[in-house]
Amino acid sequence: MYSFKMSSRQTCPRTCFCKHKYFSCCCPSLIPSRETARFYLLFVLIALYMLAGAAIFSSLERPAELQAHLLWERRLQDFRHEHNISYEDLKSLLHHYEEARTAGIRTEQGRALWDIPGAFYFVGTVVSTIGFGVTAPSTLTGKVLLVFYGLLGCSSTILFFNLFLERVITLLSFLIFWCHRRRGGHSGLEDSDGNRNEEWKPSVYQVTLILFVAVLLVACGAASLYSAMEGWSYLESLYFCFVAFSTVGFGDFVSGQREHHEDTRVYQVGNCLLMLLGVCCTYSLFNAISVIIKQGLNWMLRTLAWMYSGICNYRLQLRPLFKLCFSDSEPPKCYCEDNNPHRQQVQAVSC
Amino acid sequence: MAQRRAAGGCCCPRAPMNEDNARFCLLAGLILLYLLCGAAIFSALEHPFELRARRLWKQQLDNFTQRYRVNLGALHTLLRQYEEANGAGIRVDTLRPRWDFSGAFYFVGTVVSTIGFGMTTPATIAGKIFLIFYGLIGCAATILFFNLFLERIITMLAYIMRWCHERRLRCAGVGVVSSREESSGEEDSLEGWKPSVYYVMLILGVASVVIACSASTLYSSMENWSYVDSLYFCFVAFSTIGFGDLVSSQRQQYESQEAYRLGNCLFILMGVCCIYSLFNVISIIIKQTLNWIVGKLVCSGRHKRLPAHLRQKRSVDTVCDSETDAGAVAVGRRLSGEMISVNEFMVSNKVSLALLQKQLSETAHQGPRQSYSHQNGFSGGVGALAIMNNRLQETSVDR
Repeated sequence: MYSFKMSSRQTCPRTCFCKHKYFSCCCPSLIPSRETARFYLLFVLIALYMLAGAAIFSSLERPAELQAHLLWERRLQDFRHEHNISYEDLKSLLHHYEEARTAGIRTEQGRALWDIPGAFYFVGTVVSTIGFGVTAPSTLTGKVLLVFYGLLGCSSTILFFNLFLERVITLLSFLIFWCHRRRGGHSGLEDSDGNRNEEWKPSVYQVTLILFVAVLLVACGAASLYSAMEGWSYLESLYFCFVAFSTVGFGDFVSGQREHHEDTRVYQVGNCLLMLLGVCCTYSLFNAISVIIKQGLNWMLRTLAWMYSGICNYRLQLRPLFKLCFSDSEPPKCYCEDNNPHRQQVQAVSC
Repeated sequence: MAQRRAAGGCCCPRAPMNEDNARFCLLAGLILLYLLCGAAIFSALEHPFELRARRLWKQQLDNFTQRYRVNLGALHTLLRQYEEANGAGIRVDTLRPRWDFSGAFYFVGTVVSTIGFGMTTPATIAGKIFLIFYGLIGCAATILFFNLFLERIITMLAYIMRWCHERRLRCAGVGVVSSREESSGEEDSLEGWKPSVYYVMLILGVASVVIACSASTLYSSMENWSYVDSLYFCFVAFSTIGFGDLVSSQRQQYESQEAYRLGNCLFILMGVCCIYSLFNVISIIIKQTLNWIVGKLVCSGRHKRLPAHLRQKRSVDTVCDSETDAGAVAVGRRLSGEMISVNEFMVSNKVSLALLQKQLSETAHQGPRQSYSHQNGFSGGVGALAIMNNRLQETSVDR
């Protein structure tokens, strides 16, 4: 089913050696196509990344968690003894409080959750898939409606982000082209390659850098606003900005939930706009970084394939007379060495 | 380019730039409208419940203070402390540890997939800072993973289409040999095979529903949620919204705990992949609708043909709109249709194309310059739209 990914348009150059000729013992049917291999490789790498991250976070946070447990136990005991209340009754009150929390009630009087501005904030967190969780539907109808509403809304918003990404890249390539034109003047390189170079595109590294700077600017600006209006520290505001803009949206910090703000309306509108801008830029940044990661994967695959071909070559040299997997009917599969310029054709085709 | 546009009976050459911006703004306006309607409907549904819940809580609080003669202020202090404990993940019933290895793994999973339930959040400063850098790479890699998954799905469907076609040929008695000779490489033979976006959407929709329903049966049995609640949780988790009001696998003890945790992990992974792909495929359809609307508005008088045939067999007739369709590219693997405008700008300003030869590719081992448009990181485009670009019937253009 799988064959090693090759562009068939090229002829086998002389530097290639054909497995078919040497009765390869490395059964080619087990080699996945380049794209499938890349997919699995990425899966493995992400799994490793997650395991490493879990270990690091666990070591960072576990002590604080144990401390918080002890602290809460102590406070509960103190309260019980002070007011002479049974554990069961206190527990039932706290259960009620938990239920109230899911309906959005907090000890500090926050703003109403389901008035029109609150509901607008809610649907905003739904379609952008941030999903803070401060407001979540409690009724059955609301939950069912959310599924259908979210289906269409999230698709449209993903389209919006993707179109924004395209617009940003167009704009950036335009700007970079302008800068180079300014700097380059009319250097006398002749256009010998003809129409092939019409399609000028910016480098992914440039775009990533520019997007990164943009995200940093938006995040720092937003963080200063939030730390002023919400009373968080600057670091907490930065953390909130990252969590919101990447659409992770934990919900431990949520902006715009306090009841009294001077110029509440202005702040709320500014909050929405900042979040929108931040999410768009961060989404674009993620996609740009993913292009770099994809190239890294391609490089890793090439290295692995090169090592694999080295091993195969080694085995072939050791056992030239063994006909282990000999098949006449198979078309010759040409495997080209790493430094062959035709590889780039392969890369282009399968990229 | 120009002749194709003339043949399509299209409008002024500056139109592509305006059309793309028009489409973007139109989409923004429609989403805003959608949000306002949604806000009104949800508010009408949920506001009464909220008021009722507030009244109920106030009643319970009053009962409690009266029964035990507790000072309300002291009770509020306790509740605030409880909220603080909630932030560290403590609940009245003992839950599984937050930050042991498996809990941290669950947390990291919610971060890189951007679900973000919020049942576990870093409390230390170091944790928060590390999260920012960790999430930057992790989320990008996971977005790439989802995009590649979508690509694999489309390739698999194209492969199935070709297999069905070959089988039909075989049954009809035509030799397979001839078709084998035509299709010299796997990639080549798949080139003409482009599934329709509706076909892909159907497959993904069915897969999502199957995964959601089976996951819901698991959750409703293990977590004692109602089936509707489990379905709701499945949707919220798989779409990466992740409210956190319902979170699976939080209790300290389950029967067959390890199997349940593994199943939870796998279900969430498969569910997010399918729903993410489904969202992207639906976005293609929305984009076509937008193109159609923009086409109606912009090229209203001068259109000779209906834009954007929604069902094509192999190749799409190039019409005015389909050039700007889905980041559709004209020849070769361009970044997007918007690049046309840069070309025209250059041509119209008589800028030497030699300037554009300046190669800005990023990889060190660059070969000769000729095909540098392929070596550039943005060949084939960026993002999910680019993944689907030229792989579906509705997003392909004549080469």
